[in-house]
Amino acid sequence: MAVEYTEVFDTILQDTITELPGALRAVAKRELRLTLREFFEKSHAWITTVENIALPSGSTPVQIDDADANTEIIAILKVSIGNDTDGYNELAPMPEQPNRVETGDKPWAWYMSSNPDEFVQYPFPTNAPTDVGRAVVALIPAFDTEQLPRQITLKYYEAIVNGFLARMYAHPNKPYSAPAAAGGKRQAFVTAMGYYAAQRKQGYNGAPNWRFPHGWRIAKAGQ
Amino acid sequence: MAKTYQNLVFESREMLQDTDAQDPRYADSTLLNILNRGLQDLGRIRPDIAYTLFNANSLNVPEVVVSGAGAGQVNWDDPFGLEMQFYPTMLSYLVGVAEITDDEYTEDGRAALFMQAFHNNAIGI
Repeated sequence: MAVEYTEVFDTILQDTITELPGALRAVAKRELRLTLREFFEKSHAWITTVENIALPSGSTPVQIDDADANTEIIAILKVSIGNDTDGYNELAPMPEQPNRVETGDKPWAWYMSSNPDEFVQYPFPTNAPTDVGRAVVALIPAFDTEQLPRQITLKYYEAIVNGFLARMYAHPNKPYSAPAAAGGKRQAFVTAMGYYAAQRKQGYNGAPNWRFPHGWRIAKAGQ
Repeated sequence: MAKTYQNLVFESREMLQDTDAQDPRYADSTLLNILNRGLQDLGRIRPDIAYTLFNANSLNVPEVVVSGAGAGQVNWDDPFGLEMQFYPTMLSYLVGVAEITDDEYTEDGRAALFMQAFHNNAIGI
């Protein structure tokens, strides 16, 4: 398995020193952190699967924890229920809590109870399921982390640098202020987020984008 | 060894040709006052300079005192708290404002020159 955390902020900051005369390191690092968070929040390009989620009975919300101090969950992309012997069934996403109170042996759907990492199963299970949950979630770097995933330099480096420079160039009245360049860099960054979001939706390998069962749908922006 | 605020004051004396410790033209307290006003002015036009130094949510830059620093203050023999790229910026301010006093007797406009340098250093290339 690939080693996830191989990158640090300093690598990117070092590369951009020449383009930011008069910039403060602490300020630059903050903008870089915000850039990374924005990139992964909007593209959902960084995903992981959380296994063995204990599922409660009734309408008790389930808060997913990926057990990694370097990350925060920014979206739940898919929820399944099952076990390793029989396999898993995907639950259908619902846009909001249904008006009808329905209970049952096994849930077939889920809705968000608290954005971005908490959901509720539906119909509400009469008893806590013996099966466990599996969720595909999108991640962003935690606000205080110093560790970054290898994919940043492996794949998204140019996009991140463009987004970072756009934020810096947009600062008012600094030696490095460059509003016109900021617009161009920002445009390139936004385009890259869309490009990588599309890759993510196709599983990074050009896979057709449908799910079965209960999950027949066209993935919308960010999903 | 890290530069201190005291080094900054001493370097300004060199440029002001005021290094006679027995008979200084400018008292330490005067130069320290100028330095503190300069830090505040720099904090106004470049609020990012003290990004890691601001006290809680205030935008007050630390006040430099000779000794016994309390909350929101630093001693002048503490390391210069801003990035070193702003050391010459503050030097220009210190010399420039101090020169205003002397400019009354000269015609060479050194005060304006240093104040312009301060401004350029802060927000120009």
